[in-house]
Amino acid sequence: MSSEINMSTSTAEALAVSTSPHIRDEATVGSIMWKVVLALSPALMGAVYFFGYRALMLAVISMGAAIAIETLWEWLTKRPVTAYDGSAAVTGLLVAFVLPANASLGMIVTANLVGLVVGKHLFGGLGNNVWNPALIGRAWVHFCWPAEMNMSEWPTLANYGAADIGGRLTANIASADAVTQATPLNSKAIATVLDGGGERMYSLAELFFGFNRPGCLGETSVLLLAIGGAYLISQKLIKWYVPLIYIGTVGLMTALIPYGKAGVDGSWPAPWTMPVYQMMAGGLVIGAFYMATDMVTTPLSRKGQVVFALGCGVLTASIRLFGGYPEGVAFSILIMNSAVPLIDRYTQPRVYGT
Amino acid sequence: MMARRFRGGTHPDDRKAPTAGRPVQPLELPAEVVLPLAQHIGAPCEAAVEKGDTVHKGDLVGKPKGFVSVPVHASIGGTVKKVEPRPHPLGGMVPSVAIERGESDEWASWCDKPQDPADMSPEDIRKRLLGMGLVGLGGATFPTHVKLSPPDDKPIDTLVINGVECEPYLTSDHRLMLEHTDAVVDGIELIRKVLGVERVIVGIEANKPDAIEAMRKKVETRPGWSVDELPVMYPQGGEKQLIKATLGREVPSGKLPMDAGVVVHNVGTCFAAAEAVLRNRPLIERVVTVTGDACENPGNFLVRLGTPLSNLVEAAGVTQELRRVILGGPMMGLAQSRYDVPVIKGTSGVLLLTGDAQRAYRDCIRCGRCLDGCPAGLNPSLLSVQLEARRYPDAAETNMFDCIECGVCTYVCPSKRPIVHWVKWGKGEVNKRRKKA
Repeated sequence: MSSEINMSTSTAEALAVSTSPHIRDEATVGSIMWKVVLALSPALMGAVYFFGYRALMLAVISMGAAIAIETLWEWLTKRPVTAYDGSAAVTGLLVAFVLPANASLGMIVTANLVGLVVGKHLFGGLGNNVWNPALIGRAWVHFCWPAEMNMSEWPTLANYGAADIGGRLTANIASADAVTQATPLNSKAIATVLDGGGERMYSLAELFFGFNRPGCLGETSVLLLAIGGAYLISQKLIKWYVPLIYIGTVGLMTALIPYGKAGVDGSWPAPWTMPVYQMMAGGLVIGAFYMATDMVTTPLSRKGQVVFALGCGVLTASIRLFGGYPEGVAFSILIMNSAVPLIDRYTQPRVYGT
Repeated sequence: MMARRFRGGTHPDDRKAPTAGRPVQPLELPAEVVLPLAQHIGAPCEAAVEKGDTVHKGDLVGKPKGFVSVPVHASIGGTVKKVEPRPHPLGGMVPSVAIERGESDEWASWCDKPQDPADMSPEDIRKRLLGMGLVGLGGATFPTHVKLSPPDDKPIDTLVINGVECEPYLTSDHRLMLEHTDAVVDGIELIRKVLGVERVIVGIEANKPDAIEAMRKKVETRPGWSVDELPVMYPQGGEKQLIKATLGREVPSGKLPMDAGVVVHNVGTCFAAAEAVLRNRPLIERVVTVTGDACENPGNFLVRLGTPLSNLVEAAGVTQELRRVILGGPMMGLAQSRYDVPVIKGTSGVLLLTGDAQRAYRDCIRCGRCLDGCPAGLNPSLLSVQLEARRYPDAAETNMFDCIECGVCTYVCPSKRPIVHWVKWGKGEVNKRRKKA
């Protein structure tokens, strides 16, 4: 009722005054981060299917640990508590996703602790961290648990053997319980790809769908990761060209650079086999969709993002082809994270009228 | 979907539906008008009347001082009650002429006479526009005659008419193009004649198909004239963005549209120009959209300048949830703290909004939405970090002065950082320091 509105001159306290713009887009840090969690949920469901309920338990514990660690840290340092904005949940979920299914609770908690405290909050919290916190956590665990993280042999669902899925919630906490087999990037598995005539350890279909494929919890199904990635692209939270350029660069380099030897029977594999295999194996897809697109630790401008994705691709392919380590995604992204301030400096947008 | 024609931009819900179909209706005359002597960019006027003077509608009450200045005219007939500083919608107290309404609403004897444009030289038209108090009615209120006086070394080849109205909520230009198509086109012709150009482009966004159709009928029969249907994208009504969108040209950084051979005028200005030059009517009224989610009866009103905001609020009605009153559009308008400020030449809309202002913000998460959205090609993320830390010289180096303050960066920011606020503040700080130096 207009008559009840007091329009005398002294209504300053009744009206809220602020500067333009007076409307804001609905997106918040929280809405963005929880959408990322949502995007990762198909891969989480896949992980539960591939590795049993233990996968779900690890993911939940990891997310809970991440949120608890962030809450505690912010409380101890007397900063506003932002632990429920979804960013810690994303870190926790990604930490679980980049560790194998037989990871121990110690590995999970340590990765979160180091990732969040050293990787994120010592730099000033969300927005100020240089490196991807989940990958910092993974790198730390990689060096603390070298045997468990050596990338050559990890469990699949089949290795657990037991049909009692419910029992797995509590069983097999210790990594030693699981029987492991060579991962797709293990030299033994690669050799079967190079062997044009022989039988491959992993078919392209297995890599794509994620069946019987040992690997980190969240990295096994290309399909499920791509579904979540497509969702993020549709929500304009990640740029489509970043995963495309990253994965494409790895494909191109593994296609152009020969592996140096023919298969065991003397024949060369079909020329497209190795690049397609390399593009789907290991952590490339999860890294390209969910880590090389991390807002905080990648360049601001489109030009910069292209440079970043190219750099990640070149580094990953180089590590896989020439390095002494079968994977390379985590370290490639961390190295490129370090280069972001430099990339940002040289890839500013063009100012109108200049 | 049509491809965007200028860099960046964003797409807020246009919220125009409540008023787009409402014909312009005259607002009841107020008991008193308050006419600030500064309603334009440039030197303020000098009062031409004193307390106690009787004035007719159209009489001069403020004399311009200097070239970049225009007169102010009485918007109602009556008695001058006071000449004193009064609250101004842009903030602070500004010398103003308060007129109490008298019996008669007759024009002053020299006004409201049909004129034949055939007898007028470009110089005549320019002088008339100045004499009638014409300024850019899109909101910037830059004196029209100044824009129409490009120096000889800056040849103009194209006149771009701004019918974009890209700010959400506002529909006053839309209604003018629909209801006064002929007058708008007459005004365009006058301005074209002053500039002596052949090419005229009327830019209208695709969300106003009826206005596009109406204007096409009148515009496209003339050789060299065209209506350009533009994809909906804020801030396409920004002068520089519209030039890019219609002509593909960019105005050099720090320069004016005339440096790119273009002059841009708003359709509201064209309508006022026709009224002024062809009918001897000084600028004493304008169309104002009154709307918002706290508004009961949104509409487009023909409002006399100087009408207090409270009259518009009463006419349109508000709900109890009213928390914010904005003059202008939601992206660039100015929030008001009181209802006694007057409608001035640049008031395109009154927004009556619910909800509190956004105050809390957090650190930049470097999502890059502001870079993608910035029509000026700036790095608002970096600017916000520099300005939050009061590193003003650094911000100047980061091209802060190329910012057009359109608000896209702040609108899209998920951390809700008040980037435009900081930029406005930062420009002021740097200018202060430059003056001292």
